[in-house]
Amino acid sequence: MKGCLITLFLSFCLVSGGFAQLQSVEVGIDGLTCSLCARGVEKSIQKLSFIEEVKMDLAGTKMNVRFLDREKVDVHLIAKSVEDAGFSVRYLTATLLGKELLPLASKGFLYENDLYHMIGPDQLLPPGSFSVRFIGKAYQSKKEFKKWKTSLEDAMAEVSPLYSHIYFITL
Amino acid sequence: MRWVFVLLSVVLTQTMEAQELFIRTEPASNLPKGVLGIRGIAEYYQEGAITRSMYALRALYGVNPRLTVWLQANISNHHDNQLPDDLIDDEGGIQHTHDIVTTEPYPMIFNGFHAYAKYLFLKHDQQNRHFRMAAYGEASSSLTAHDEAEPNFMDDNAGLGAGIVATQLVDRFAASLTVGAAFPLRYVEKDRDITLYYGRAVSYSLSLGYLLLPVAYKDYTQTNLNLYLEFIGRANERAEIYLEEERVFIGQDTPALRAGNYVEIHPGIQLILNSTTRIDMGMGFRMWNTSYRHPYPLYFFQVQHYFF
Repeated sequence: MKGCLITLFLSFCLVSGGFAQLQSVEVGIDGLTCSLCARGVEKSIQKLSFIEEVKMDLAGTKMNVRFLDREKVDVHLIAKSVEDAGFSVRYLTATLLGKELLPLASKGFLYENDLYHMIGPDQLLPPGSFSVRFIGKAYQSKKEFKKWKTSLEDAMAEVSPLYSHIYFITL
Repeated sequence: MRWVFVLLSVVLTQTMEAQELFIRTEPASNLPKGVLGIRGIAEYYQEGAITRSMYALRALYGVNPRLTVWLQANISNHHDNQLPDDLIDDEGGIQHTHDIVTTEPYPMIFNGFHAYAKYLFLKHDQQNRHFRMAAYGEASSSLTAHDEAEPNFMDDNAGLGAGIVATQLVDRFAASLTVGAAFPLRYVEKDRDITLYYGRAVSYSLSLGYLLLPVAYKDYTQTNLNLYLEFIGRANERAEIYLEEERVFIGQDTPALRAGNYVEIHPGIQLILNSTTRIDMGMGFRMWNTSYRHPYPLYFFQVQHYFF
């Protein structure tokens, strides 16, 4: 319990810092085959308050999303917007700036009030800018998710539910 | 018909990629959540010297990723708002319906509304492909005195319908199967005490779509050109007519009121402008047997704009 309180206190400290450490995400989209459909996805993402720019790659069926400074980024809302437009997330990777993050030993980091929990063996966060891949049903194709299902269940048993949102990631 | 086969061979010899915005049928896929579509529909056919036409305005809305609904208002000059005066002869048999006396002109009248809801219950997405299944229900009102056994919910009949759609899309190529049933309500003309029971119908269709242009996507401003070939079949029960509660005899010379069974072929092209507006054009031909609801060819034209 004491550990949880310390973690929460530290995360509130980070919120007051107000830096956007999460710089951009790349989202692979499944089921997408036409420009009209792609436009539907793009417009759905643009409705989110923290979006600066969406660049859709029609041929690669993926998009790059950049965020506004000083806005809290809710990655799960990006995945939900893709679903709302009628499509599925194939993968979601995020680019982060390590120096602004608060590492939690070797099991991930805190950003805003959200916990980013690393799955798998302990790993240190690389210095500077680095990428993480999101693990979960909402962030992966069904085939890919099956490979991670057991690791995800193990990781879910490890984390405290006290965060506003918990993301499971891997480097 | 030859150009239809030429079109098919062009489609099948190119590298497959996808389009499923079918002109005459609905795919299993839905509108994005919160997106409104407005569609204008025009359909024409020649009946003797008379051009029969139907115009409709449809508002579609994506309620959520699983549910799309639409409401459509129709006008047409297919029928009058009451049955022909000489529909029934003095001996209690059918004298004529409008399909027999084909040159009967009718005024353009408001037909009623058509409501439709489609629920996506299966979604299997992969990169550049998907397989989806949906169930739909529809309801229609009509102020028109339709005098053929085959029901038509878009403008001629009041009734209820339901069905299943399965759509497979692989790169540029899309195929969709639809099977549905229609349960028309009876038509009652109180002044003459005539009641017309239309036949229930089963509809089935196979729709094929192919994205011809652009060869490679670059941006949203590229005009898309899609080709479609749709096979639409129907089987309907016979109609029954009652005059003052006495059943009217429907003879062999009134095929429009008897049970029917036919398949049509509907080739069409579609332009998508600026990734927000689609323009559809096409024709419908008899392939096996005939519909007595309309002669051939059918001409149709649609414009739809999406408000994202």
